[in-house]
Amino acid sequence: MPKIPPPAELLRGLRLAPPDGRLPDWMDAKPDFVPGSYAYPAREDTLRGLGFPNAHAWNPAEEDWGLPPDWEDIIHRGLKERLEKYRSLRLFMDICVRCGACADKCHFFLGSGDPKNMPVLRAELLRSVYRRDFTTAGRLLGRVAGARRLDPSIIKEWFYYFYQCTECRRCSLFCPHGIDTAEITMAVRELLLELGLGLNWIMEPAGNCQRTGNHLGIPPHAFKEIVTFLCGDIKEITGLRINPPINEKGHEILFITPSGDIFADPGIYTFMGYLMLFHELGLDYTLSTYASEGGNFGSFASNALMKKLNAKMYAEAERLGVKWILGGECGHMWRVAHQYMDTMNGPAPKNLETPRSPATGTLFKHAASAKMVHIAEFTADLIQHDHLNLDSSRNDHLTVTFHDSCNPARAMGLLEEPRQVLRRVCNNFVEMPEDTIRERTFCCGSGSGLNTDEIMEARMRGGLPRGHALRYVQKKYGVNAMTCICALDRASLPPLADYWAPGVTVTGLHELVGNALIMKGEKKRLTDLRQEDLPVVDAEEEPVKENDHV
Amino acid sequence: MSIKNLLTEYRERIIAEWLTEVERGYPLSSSGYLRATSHPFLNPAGLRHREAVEAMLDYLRNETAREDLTCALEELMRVRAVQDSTPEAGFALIYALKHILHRICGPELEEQAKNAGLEEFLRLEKTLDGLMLLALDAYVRCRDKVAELRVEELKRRHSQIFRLAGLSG
Repeated sequence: MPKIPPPAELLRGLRLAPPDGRLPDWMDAKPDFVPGSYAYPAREDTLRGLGFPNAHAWNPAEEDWGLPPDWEDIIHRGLKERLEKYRSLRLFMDICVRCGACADKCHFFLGSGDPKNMPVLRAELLRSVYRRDFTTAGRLLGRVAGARRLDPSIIKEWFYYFYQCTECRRCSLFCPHGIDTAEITMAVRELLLELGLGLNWIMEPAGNCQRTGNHLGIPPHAFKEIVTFLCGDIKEITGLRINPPINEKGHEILFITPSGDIFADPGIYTFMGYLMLFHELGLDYTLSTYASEGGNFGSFASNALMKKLNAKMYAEAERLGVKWILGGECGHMWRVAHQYMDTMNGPAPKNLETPRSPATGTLFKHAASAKMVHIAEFTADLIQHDHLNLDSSRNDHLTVTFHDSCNPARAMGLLEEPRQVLRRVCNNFVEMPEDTIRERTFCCGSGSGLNTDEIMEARMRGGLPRGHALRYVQKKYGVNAMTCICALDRASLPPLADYWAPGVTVTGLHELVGNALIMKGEKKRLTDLRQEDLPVVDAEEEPVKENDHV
Repeated sequence: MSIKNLLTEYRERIIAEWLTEVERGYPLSSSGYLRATSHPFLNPAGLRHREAVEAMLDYLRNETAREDLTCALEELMRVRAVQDSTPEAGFALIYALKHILHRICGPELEEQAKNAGLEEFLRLEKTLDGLMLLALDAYVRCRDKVAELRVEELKRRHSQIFRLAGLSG
């Protein structure tokens, strides 16, 4: 009888585990580049168009990645330059004591069990090279001091694991030394790009953005046509015709949102919510086809590309002569706008002023320098002043929970504002367990340019902790909607919810605002913004109370 | 001793050995991956493994409903179906339970068969085979789901572009 392996042996079918049971040192264990384990590489012409060096065609599954002949020098020089430029990076290389506090905080580790997804070990992939090349102990003692000599397999390892980090910074929250692994990831991704190695999912949207203003490369006339479609939908639902100004000079506010809100489901419902809110307020604003992208995939690639793509915001604000910028619901857009824009592309153009809400008179002092306000802050202020006429029962068919997107939560501290809005626009709001929300929120698993479908399994693994908490509130409280204030989340959470908690839909915050908003002159609402029937529609028109309008 | 009593007596040992066996499938440096914490939200993979093995043992002891067992197996298979593993590694979990049962309860099972015949033992084996099929069912549905996610994502991502091109229904 032929020998069939027993279950104990078959269990080793996890590709991570060595089939023969031998357990090599982490430095010797190398990833297996099988389809599905890596995202497609950036195309040669895309990289060239963006001005990156050493653009070439290559395939991660092949042995030879076509590295330039002087690749070792490029990495050494690149790392040296960054260590000198970013004091934080040098510090992060030196001060880790490998206490392990971060080890089980990464959603990719919790989902995969792969030790190199522990932030400490992921960082060690670079740190080991740093030790060998930049510290005396590492040079003299080598492996004993945790140092190793650079070789092509390390470049492959970097590509594999630093594109399994979503730069969400949950680990940094728990690090006693404050090491920000996202900065290490950013540095390594820059180094890889110097060798012509990048992800198509990141570089193509960035290239499109550079050429036409948005990730999908939609030209201005098509952009306008799609906005018109969505206004047609609003007319269908509310009976009101909205004509948002596009590229018009002389308005008070420039509104910039991620293009996913305009082109993709379910972001479009959030976009409709914005337009309805602006119409109701009589806001003096314009959209722009030049700055038609709030998102910044450059921030997932390199500092220089991030700066270049972000520059459109101030340039367009200056050209159109607006007084301030209002930004839509987005995550990494806000990491860039909130933490980098001011110093990177500032000071803001002279025509910009400290944002002031024309509806309530509130001066947004925190944006005195950057001149840009997040729409969740803007709407929370309206709610705080009881400025909107809202019928929260229109969201009664939803039991809502709120996913704190990593960047607004951890990079901006935008925790209370969306909750304040949610509590006012819907009657059934429950929180997910406390260790999984606010600053400690779990990532969607697809951030920082990883929401491409060829790595769907990896994304689902990374989404396990979030999905698990969602499943819990689904079972316990009957949650059927998860709201977020991030366009990437609106793209990546639907599959996550569909997989880990089937039956939960994903909405933007302003979709729910749009549902609840009672607009002057609107017809009786029979459907929500998705044009699905509202559950209970009273036979009589609900009178709009005059007093509710300020 | 009846099989039900045997499973009750050895419950914790069976669970511990099963988790040890499963954990051997992961690399050494992540040892403790499944058992690092029992916090219900900070180690979801560990929790789902534990809940599944408990549900299987309870089902074998007639102490849990079929729906609860199916649910626990599904939650586990959802994890295994997207981990970087071969399908047999997912199903081997169930067979590993069978082999651990044989190893731990072997002498008592033999004794019991001598005294009361094979009937109860065969029923146990049949149920274990059934568990395997339930796991297979859940695993395959999860893999189908992953394929569906890709298609649905593509449609959502370009919904308004399709509309612009007159391609949306």
